[in-house]
Amino acid sequence: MAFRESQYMTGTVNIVSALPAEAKPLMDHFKLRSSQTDHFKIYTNSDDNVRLIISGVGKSAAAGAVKHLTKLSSSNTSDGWLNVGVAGHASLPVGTLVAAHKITDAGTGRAWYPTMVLDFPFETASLLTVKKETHNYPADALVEMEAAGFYSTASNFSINELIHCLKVVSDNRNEKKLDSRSVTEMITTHLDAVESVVHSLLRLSKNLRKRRAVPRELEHFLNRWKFTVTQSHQLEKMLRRWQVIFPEINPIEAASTDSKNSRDVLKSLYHRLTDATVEASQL
Amino acid sequence: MIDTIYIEAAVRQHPRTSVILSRFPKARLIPCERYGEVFNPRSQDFRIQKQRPALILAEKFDNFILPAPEGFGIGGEENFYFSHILNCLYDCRYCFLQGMFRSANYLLFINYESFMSAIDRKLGETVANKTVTFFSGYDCDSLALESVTGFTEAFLPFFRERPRAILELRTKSVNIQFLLDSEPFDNCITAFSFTPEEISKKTEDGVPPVKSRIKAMNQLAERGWPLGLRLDPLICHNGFESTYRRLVNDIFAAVPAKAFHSVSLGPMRFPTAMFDTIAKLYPENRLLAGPLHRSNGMVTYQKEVEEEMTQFCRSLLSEHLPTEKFFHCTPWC
Ligand code: SF4
Repeated sequence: MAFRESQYMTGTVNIVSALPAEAKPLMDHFKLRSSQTDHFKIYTNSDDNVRLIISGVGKSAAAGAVKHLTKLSSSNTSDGWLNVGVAGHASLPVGTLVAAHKITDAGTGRAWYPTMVLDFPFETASLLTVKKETHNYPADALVEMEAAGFYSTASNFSINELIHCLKVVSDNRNEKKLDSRSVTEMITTHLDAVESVVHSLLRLSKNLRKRRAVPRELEHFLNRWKFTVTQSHQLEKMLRRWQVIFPEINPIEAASTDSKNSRDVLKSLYHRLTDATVEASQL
Repeated sequence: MIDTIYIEAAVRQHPRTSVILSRFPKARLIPCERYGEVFNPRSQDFRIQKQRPALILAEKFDNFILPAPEGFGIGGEENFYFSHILNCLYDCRYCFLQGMFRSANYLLFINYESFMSAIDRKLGETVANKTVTFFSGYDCDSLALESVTGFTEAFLPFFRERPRAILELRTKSVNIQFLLDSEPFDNCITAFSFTPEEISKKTEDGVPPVKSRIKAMNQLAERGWPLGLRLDPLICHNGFESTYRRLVNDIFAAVPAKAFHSVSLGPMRFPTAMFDTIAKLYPENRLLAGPLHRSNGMVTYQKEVEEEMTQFCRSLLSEHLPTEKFFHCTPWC
């Protein structure tokens, strides 16, 4: 189909981790190389479709890191986002991997609900983002310091279906494994599960990008005739329909005959589209 | 079928919540304060959610009963609709719900008794001998999620006692067991909507085959329940005459004409903004690509095409039913 290839051939997933100890196993697993180190450390794979940023600790740091990454991508409204790190939980065993199904900012009380459309091969739980490290565990929820900042900011750019938080339990009422080595080891244990989530997000991101891609011919039309802003919106809609109804016919050629100006072009495309007939089997 | 259930804090202890939760012992339960936190956020994608919709259990506080759109009716002197649930089990490509809500999750308002009180209030406001129709399948399919909602089980006894309140159950499902197990009464109309099998297979994902629905109609007719037939929306395609003729013939070969309380025909129409939202969700879809036409803020087939299809189907139906049974119940006409 006539889409700009680079726009939809791959999806993108951005991973945000607070600490180098959390990021290290992900960098090794996804073969990420350092690509930028001005304010944040950013790592990407060779296809530049899996990126990781080390945000530092806290809600604002996570929010800042998300904003920073969005500036590097021109199609960031269809990116996948993943916050990977460690969290405390009153009773879950240390080392358990959990996806957040509800994220509450303890400071404001505001809550976000990552859409549960992925097949998480592990459990999900509520999560509370607090300002300061605590070992006062909430009942039945993970507790950590970044997710609310990460989620609230990422959802300004992408959609809830593509934004998720994965946390490995690092401490509970009876046990704490908070040193860097333990954190790296615990994340390493779950790399296969993280990878399956990354792949699901890449697929969703790619599909979304493909769905939203601008028809390739639009640019040719805009270069050839002069369209007002309203007309170019109309043209874009017509070209989308065109590629579904007449995938084999080049719309430029179809519109060129007898079209002196943009109005003629729109009229000619419009008539072809509204006169088209359809078989039940094509629906 | 449902693996995630959001529950508003206020309905956590509601007896209907317990019944529903007992049907999904393995579901992930997520508490929320108000359903809007889950259902309304801007950054959601209806199409992706539709792959795996969650259930939201909530309480409704107002606007229980709303006036039906102008000209919408099946013989009652006044017409209203109510929505105990928003969204649908099925996935019809022409469904306006895709363009209306940001979320594809099933939002179920479990305080049925509040809907009933509002219906009583509405009846109280109307002249005592007037018939009033209440459409229940406007923002959903009335029966498709019956096994989850227990909607007919709760509402049939209520309407049975109020003969001047006509209940329309609008459906494409075959979930009719509760109706078959109940004594029929005249003021509950089970209205089945159809497109021809060839169209249904392509555009109505998850909907039971036409044959099964005709069988369900026949079972209800034999049991004595009044039926409605809705050819809605009429879908334009080459050879529509033969596909619609076959559909109508198949229906009337199986279901006695006297069982029909009403029939209606509905063109495919969308307000422009709603259509644009839907077309963006499914840009590759052939049905939505047309031939469609924009005029007066609506997206429709060309007037002549629409009229030709309507006239043709009207004459098909007139072979079986008197014109007094023809009504109009399509929004935005
Ligand atoms: S059955 Fe009705 S409500 Fe359900 S998806 Fe189809 S058109 Fe929409």
